Amino acid sequence: MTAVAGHAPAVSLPPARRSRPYRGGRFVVPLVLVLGLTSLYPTLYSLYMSLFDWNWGQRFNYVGLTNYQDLLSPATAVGARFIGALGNTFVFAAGAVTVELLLGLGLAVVVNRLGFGTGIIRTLLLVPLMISGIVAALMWKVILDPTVGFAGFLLGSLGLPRLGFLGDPSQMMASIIAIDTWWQTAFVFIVLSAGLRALPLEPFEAAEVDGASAWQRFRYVTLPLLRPLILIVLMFRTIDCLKVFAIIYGTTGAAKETESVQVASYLVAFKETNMSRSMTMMVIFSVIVLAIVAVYQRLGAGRGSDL
Amino acid sequence: MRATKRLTALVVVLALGAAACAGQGGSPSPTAAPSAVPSTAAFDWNAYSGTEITFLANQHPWTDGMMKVVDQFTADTGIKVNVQPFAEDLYFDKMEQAVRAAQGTADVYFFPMDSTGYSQFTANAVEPLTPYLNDPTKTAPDYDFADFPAGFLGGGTYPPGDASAQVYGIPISFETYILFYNKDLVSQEPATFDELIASAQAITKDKGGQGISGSVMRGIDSDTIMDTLTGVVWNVWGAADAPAPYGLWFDGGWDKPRLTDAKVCQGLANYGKLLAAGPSNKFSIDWNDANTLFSQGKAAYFIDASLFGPSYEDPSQSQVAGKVGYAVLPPATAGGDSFTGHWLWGLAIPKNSTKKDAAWYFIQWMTNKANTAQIGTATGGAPRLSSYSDPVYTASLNPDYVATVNKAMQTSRSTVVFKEGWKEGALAVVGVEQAIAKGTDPTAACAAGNPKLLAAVNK
Repeated sequence: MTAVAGHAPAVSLPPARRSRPYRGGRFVVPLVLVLGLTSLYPTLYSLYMSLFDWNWGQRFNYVGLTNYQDLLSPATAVGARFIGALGNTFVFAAGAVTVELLLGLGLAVVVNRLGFGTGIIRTLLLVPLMISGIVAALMWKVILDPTVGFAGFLLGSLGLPRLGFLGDPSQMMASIIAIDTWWQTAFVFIVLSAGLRALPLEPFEAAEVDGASAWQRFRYVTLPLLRPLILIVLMFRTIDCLKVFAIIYGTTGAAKETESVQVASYLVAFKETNMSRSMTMMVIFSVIVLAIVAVYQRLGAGRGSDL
Repeated sequence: MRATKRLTALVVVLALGAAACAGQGGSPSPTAAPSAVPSTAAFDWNAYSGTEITFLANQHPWTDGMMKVVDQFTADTGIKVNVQPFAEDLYFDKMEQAVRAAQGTADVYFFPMDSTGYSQFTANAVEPLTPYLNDPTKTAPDYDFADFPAGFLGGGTYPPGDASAQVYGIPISFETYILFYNKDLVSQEPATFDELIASAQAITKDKGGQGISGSVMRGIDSDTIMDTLTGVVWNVWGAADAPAPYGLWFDGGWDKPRLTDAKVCQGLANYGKLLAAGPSNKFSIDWNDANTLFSQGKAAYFIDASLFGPSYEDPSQSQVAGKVGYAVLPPATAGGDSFTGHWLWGLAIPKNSTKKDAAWYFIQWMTNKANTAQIGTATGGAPRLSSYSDPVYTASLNPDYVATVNKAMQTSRSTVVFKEGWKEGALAVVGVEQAIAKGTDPTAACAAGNPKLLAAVNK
């Protein structure tokens, strides 16, 4: 060690080592290949097929971007339908995600503060998540049937008019959002509840010492600390809601008032046998979903989020 | 980092290469040669003994009846049958996949004898059966194809109206659109369609609070209601000519829709007004919901397929057993003629089947005189004329039901429109009826719908 006058002796470092190449990548090659085949290949195949007019039969002519022009033009019948389906999808996603987030966060906060029975409450809240979307849809379709359903019976018993719910165009979307809320709020609850329990206590204690009210602690301490997790939950629920199929098809079927992009694409493919148009719809929709995911990632970037 | 880039590039190239090599995927490849004609010149039921065929079936009362005799078929022919039934909504998806795939997965299938079957014909996906019918070595001598009414074959004979048209589907179950009414709620059968509508409206007003409506009809915005709707419109149209392929909705050309015709518009209005007298969720009701509601005694009137009738008399399935009245559609004027529509399921062979001859044996055995009557007891829609003098068939059904269906058959007309892509046109027609049911003036609704129908079928 050499000493320089007036300074602490310099610490000598060991000789620099050449960095070794990371060899762990080879172990994920099989996974990447499988993901590539099952995700990338269908996507590229859909892109290719969207340039034709294949009707699942002998008609297979190259049409270039005609399918895209038709679908994105409100003046055409197919375009009006696709744009309508996009609108329905966004309305459903916005409504369901908002309600589920508020309800799920509220439940997580309340249950977290309970001193007893939290295990049983969490289990009960998880029950809807255990059934599939189509089962939830068919079950609620019967419950909400104004003639033979329990909801209609209850309203009738109370002397109230029997609402149309899924049969009334003005109530369809709200009914479907309510069904999805019943089904999926538990997911939001579980994730945010775990997040709340993992938060450090010190900031809350400090805030309490400083005289912050419960609302102020929630707004200025809980929410900022929980923000990364909220963004993750929002992103997952948004993607799930954008790709909604079972809840809508199982309840209202092909009703135009609630037809989502996935339902429209399915009907166009398998009922109208217009495969190319259906694939075009999914290509356009995939681009939109990717753009939304990018927005979420930007919101979460640099704030400690894992997005 | 360089290795990662190379790996990513490799995956992209592989995927692009696979996509570029992907074929159409849909057009059926040339089928295998049909099985060899048996050496003997006479027809032999055991000619294809040892073969196993796959029957793609709809979960339909006909399938229930068929399952009771399929073992006998195997005993008589040595042909084993792998029956794959699916609920109707799923069945249509499965059917299209099976008949349009390059590799066949079914040898016989439930064939919708309408525009769906026609679109499979235009896609060259279904086998013509006329050569089999005309070959005495392949068809039993007592099959008697002429026993099927000519009007029942039209939906499966293509090209429609062509002198050289061939048969592609053999009828197994027909349905005609009749009026069912609950005798507990209806004291007198309506004499005219206007009386029917008024009665339904009155019952809804009186008993709607108890969850009972005057009528229940298919009300969803879908082409699945077209056959019933067409039957109601035929009832107003009457016996006037409406030749195939254009049928009721076009005046001799695809560029001449006639929703504004007074009779057509009146028919649409009749359906719309009867639908409007239904329960509050009327616009989300399809045939299965409507059938369920009527069988549970929740509606006074129900116009739909005749084949629902037998199930209403079964106390294990219906709460209106013994209380159902059957009638042909009430005419426009008292004492006038009633008309209606009919639609049929058939059996067909996909072009991609490799066991066509054995498949034909299955079809002709199941649709011969004896089995048509026997299986028909499950459907109430036996499509052979001889079934109506066969006590096996007639004795099993409610006599009022049999009499009504027989009467309806005399004046029923096909509901088929032979146009590829007809679904979009059908939705334009349904849109008019829905607008009327929601309160739009019928004349205005028909006027607004006519250009939409024109645009839908002339893209």
